[in-house]
Amino acid sequence: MNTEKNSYTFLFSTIMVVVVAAALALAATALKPAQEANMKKEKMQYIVRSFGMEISRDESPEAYKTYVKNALILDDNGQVISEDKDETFAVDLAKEKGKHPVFVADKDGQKYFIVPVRGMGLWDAIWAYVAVDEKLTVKGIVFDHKGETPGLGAEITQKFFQDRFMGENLFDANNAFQALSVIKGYKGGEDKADGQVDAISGATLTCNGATTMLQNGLKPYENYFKSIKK
Amino acid sequence: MSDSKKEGLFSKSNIKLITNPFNDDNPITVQVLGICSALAVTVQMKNAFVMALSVTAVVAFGNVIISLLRNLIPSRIRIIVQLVVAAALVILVDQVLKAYSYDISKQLSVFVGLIITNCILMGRFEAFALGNKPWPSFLDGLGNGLGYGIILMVVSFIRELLGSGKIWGVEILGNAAEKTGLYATGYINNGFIILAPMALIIVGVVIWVQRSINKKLIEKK
Repeated sequence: MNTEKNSYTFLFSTIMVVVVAAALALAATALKPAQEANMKKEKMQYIVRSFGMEISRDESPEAYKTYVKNALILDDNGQVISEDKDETFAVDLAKEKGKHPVFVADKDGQKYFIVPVRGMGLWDAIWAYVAVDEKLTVKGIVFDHKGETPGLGAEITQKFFQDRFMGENLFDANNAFQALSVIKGYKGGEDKADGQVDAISGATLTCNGATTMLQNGLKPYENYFKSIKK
Repeated sequence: MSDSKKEGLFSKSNIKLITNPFNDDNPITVQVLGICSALAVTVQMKNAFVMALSVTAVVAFGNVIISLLRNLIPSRIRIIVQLVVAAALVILVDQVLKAYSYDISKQLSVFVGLIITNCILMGRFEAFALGNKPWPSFLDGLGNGLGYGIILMVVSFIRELLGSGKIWGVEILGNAAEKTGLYATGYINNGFIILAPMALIIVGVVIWVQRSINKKLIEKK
């Protein structure tokens, strides 16, 4: 067989492309349910972890069902547009604009409001779940990312960094909305009133992205937060 | 390798295909392939290890596929064919990890995709698999993947120890934040080590050490 003929080259590449495309499409379709189940469980795990429950991914659907009492979707002005729990859970921040979900959890008599935010890190998307109590004090935060550098930007998923947010307040002493910020070379020490935490060295761009994400992502909730503040 | 004579599966020359890349023909330090990922993934040993395993799997199976097709591939588009085989395998690995081994897939994140650009893949497809039978090609892929892995482990060991004071994620020099262990004496981690340029220097030092031990690697003037 003459493999140097143009017609053969065309034939070979056509067959190759069709075979490879079919194989990949088949694999993607066949594996999709398993992948989506993983992602759904992970989202539940992050929501319950944000208010302090360290449990495995497989246990989280149960905990989510038990502790997350209701959920609602707000529009850009903080007005409630839906109170359906499943609908709220299904909101995809990456694709849907103008929809801001809130999950309301109740654990041991303490109420938590969990708010998801999404933004850009250095290489790809980053997102977080911020849990606050009725005083709007941060009770926990869970970060995750798609492609930040391991050992540097990816450290935002580590406990030591997320613990820095504990006790920060979304409103300053004058009741003005300040959200949360990650500051390079933060000098405030243990100051919990300013809504600012220290950044991670070597991960400045990821941390700047986190600040932008938290500022922009929490802003639409300002009116809602004011309405629940005690 | 002569086609007329039947060769044992683990004949001397076949075993050499696996063992050669460990030292005399190491993909990183001798062939100088796959340097880019060797710099990127060696901040932590755990990542480096999983990356080495993934690359080994992709090179070995890619080599087999290319070797099976070696008489059918038109030579003018062989590079594209190699790229398609590598890319398809990598996407498959990524999808399977996402479905059945979600945690590892999260840990590797970007690096799974980056396997496609690893020069070792194209290098071995082009230099070995196109001219050899499937079994030797498989062994060659295995050897090169493992040879790559050894260097990755050496470099990441040095970088994780000096850069973060940890080995495999375990704090062995004490806790840097709470100033326990060695940190109590005023020792601090070398932040420079976790940046890519230092990895290049470490790879250079590894090459230097290897050549001073293994004299036959030194080129004649």
